[in-house]
Amino acid sequence: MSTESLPVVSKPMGSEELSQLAARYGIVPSHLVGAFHGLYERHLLFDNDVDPYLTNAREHYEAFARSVRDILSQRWVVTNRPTIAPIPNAFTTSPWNFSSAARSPTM
Amino acid sequence: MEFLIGRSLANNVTNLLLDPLLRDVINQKDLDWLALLQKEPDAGLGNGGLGRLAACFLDSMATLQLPGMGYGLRYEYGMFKQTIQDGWQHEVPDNWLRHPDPWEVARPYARVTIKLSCTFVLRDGVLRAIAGCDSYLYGMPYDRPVVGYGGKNINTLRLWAASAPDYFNFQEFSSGDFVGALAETLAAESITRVLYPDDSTTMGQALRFVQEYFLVACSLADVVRRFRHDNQDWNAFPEKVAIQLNDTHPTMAVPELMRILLDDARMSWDQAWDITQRTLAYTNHTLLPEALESWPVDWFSTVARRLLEIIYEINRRFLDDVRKKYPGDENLVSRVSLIEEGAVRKVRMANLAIVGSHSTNGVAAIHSQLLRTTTVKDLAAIFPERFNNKTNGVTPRRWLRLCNPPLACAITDAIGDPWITDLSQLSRLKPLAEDASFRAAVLKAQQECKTQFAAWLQATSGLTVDPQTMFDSQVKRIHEYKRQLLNALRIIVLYNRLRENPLGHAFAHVLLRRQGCARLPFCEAYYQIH
Repeated sequence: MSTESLPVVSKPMGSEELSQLAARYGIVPSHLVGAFHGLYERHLLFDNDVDPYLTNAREHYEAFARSVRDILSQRWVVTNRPTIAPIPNAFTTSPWNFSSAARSPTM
Repeated sequence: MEFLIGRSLANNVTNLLLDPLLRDVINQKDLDWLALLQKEPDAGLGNGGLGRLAACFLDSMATLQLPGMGYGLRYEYGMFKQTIQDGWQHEVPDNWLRHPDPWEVARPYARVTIKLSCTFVLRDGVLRAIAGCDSYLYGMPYDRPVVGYGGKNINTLRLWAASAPDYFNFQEFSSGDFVGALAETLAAESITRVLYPDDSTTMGQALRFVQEYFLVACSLADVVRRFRHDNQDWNAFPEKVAIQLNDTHPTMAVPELMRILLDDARMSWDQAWDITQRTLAYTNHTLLPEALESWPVDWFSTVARRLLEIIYEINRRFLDDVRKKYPGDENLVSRVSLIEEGAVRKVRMANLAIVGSHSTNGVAAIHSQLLRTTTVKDLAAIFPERFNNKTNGVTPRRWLRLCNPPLACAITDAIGDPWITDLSQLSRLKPLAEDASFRAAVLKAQQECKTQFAAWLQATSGLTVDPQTMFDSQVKRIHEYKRQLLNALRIIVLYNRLRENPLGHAFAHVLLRRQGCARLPFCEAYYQIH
């Protein structure tokens, strides 16, 4: 396992920065990975219906890229609106969360 | 027409400021990040500087929160893959869309219909235009997010794929000619199949001509649709829409926008011309006269008859004005005309772009100056106020922060991170030029990168180089205009100097060349001079 190519300019994230991220994208870190509703796990399993234990690097890449796209999707939609809308967060429900009870974090 | 965007995952993670979070995820999931990154195909939708400039502009606009949109073609085959065999370059097709692309989103509801003055057929594997029989093409948009640094703004790169209308030739199908019934579909899809390599000529590129028309017609239809969604007054068009033509490739935007304003919006010629000129601006990329595009009049007549009528009328009015301003100078009229006379009459696309827009810029001060004084000096004399310079730049997000983390770290430690969105902040490093700790940090960053490069070179080619030496490298496709031969001669000069005077060089020097031309035996060769 290697993380050498990861950009290292940013310092480790503090709780305040995490809060800012959550406010910006309507996510918390557990949305990205987590046993129940992690974006990454969901894409890995459901996009190609492949056992996550049997996936290859290409499938990991696709799941990762789709997870990152999920995170940026709300901002993308808002950016494309013809008129400026207050951001964040136009959506009340996280679009990646299957559970109807799931709500995005309070802003 | 070209966007050399490259890989997106690491870039998007960087610009979304997700890298610390991602690092945690990678550790948690025990992933091989490098292996994962290498699984993303390189979106080589451009040939070089022109395409990369466009991609960097998209990054800048998104970062500056300017609502910009890039329009291009969704080539199935982008820039070729270079392989070197026995010292010769071999070009291998690069089917970068072989796997599903996580970044693109098809927008079938935003499909546009394009009218052609001809029909295309596939005969013996060759795409042929049949004149005099109008036909239609669909332009299917595929959108890609362009993430501004900080993630506040996410713009769009919209790439068009060509397809045939949804009908099926039942007569041919029922008669058993299944392949014939599908021929039109195959012909349509061929239009956006491949990126033309940049060989700096326009010889024999009929399909390229159709690509240019397809891009312009689709993109302008989309721009107009988006404008009309919120605006009733056509006169507001230049205030709401600014279109930058990246080289002459999309220059058909001049007659196409005129066509829309004249035929669809029912404007007068003068009104339409005013709006067209105020909306369009042109970036020139080459001074070589032989590299300036000119397309045969016959091709316009075959593919887009109405555009040719409009070009003729633009030219008539323009030359009338020139004759009034420079009476009796028919040589000048001939030089600036939009039509090049000869055995094959052609439309001069650079002249059309300059005449039909309000701004013409070069991409470096000397380039812009030479453009004004040599390449199009007559037009610069007629429209001096239109000519200006916009020096090329690259996004420091991708080409410093992401590409070179050790150096980015050293800079950030010294002056903070505002340079990431404001490169002029780098001037704050000047007082540190003699600062011992900053110099040590930069040298350490440089050494780290060189060591990584040496390890990569060893792993991929078996060559061993000393990271303590100076590296001098050129990584380009093999082409005469890239001047690889001159570089090869320089290697020989340095080698001869070394033989004549082994102690004459005060520094160690490694020359790395990736090339395979003209029987020169140094594909990935190196010469080490001590």
